[in-house]
Amino acid sequence: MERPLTPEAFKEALPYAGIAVEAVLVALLVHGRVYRRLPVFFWFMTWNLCCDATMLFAFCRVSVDAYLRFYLVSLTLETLLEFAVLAELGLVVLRYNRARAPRRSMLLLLLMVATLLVWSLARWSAPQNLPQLSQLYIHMRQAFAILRVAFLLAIAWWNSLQDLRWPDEALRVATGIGFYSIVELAVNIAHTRQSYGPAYQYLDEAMVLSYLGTVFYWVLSFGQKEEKRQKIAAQT
Amino acid sequence: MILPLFQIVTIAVVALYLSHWRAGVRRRNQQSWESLLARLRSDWSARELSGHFLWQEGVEVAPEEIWKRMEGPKGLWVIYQNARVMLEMADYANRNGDGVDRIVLETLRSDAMQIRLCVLMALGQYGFSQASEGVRVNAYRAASLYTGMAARLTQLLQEHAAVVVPDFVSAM
Repeated sequence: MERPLTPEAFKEALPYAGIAVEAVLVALLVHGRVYRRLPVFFWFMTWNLCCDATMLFAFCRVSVDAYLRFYLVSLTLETLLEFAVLAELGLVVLRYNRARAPRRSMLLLLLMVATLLVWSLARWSAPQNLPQLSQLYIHMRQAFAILRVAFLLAIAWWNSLQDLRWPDEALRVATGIGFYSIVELAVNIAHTRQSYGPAYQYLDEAMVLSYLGTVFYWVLSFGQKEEKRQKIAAQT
Repeated sequence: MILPLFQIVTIAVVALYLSHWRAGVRRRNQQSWESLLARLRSDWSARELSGHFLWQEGVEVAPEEIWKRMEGPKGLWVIYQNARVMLEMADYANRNGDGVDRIVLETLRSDAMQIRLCVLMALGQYGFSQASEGVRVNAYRAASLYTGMAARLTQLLQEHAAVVVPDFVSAM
């Protein structure tokens, strides 16, 4: 007999769906040899897939504290990889336009302005009814969300100043990162005004859904390109 | 009450800016030569400032007279918009031609940036003090850079996409 899709069942299915979509994306990146053109992005997605699978496996087997510690480490590494992906996109755009790298001072200035702008949004608070480790986790998420949007803004401003073109692949990756970064920032800011409860969790789920939506968008766009390439090959 | 409102407005503005930027990049990737030509503004031409416009760098008008010949902010705005389109034309030639010199591209990119900076400064000053000395100096600098950029682009097109030169010359 079929089980109805209750909110609880949906919540339980989310991590599995995430891992499945990530696995499909990694397979597409290998199949389309995207790992050659965007190696850091490929490793970023592979890292996410491995981490999510490990955490799902470890969730029922280890204590909450051990789980959170592992999660904090993986979150830090994931964010560092994400910044590396953004830097990789910048380099890809420079190569594509045969342009010279911008002065470090200019990039720093843009990054500082962007960080100041986005930082002014944060209130640096976490629900007091949560354990200390969870509060640290929330503060880290807020800081990373702010820095990621600041980094994206700096890239967009620099790109507007230089009038550079973007290869389609790089633009797709930037679009995805931009989308879930904005959602994550908005959710993190909303969290600073909430106490821990069902509404708090709904917003967390919205954040997970935005990430899943992004991975799904990447699957569609990288898959479509592969389909088109095969059609052209078949015609010739 | 003010902080939440500020937070909501800022996030909305950042999201809108990023999506607007993305749309601009996508549009730019799909442009044809015809669409670039159509974007060039021809309601004012820098031929008013130099008889050798497009072929030689430099302005043949004194800084005092340049503001009148530019028809004020109108000419400045045309320069601002055309500088961007000309840069995109150089990119187009780079994509469709073979081996465009990287230094020429860099020079054009730097020209375009400086022109826009000068124009914005001139327009900003104009907003406060009408056609003051500072406005005329910035307008002169922008016009001079513009003629240099146009001459460099014409030469680049002649070398790498000669077929499109007549259309470009008539559009300018």
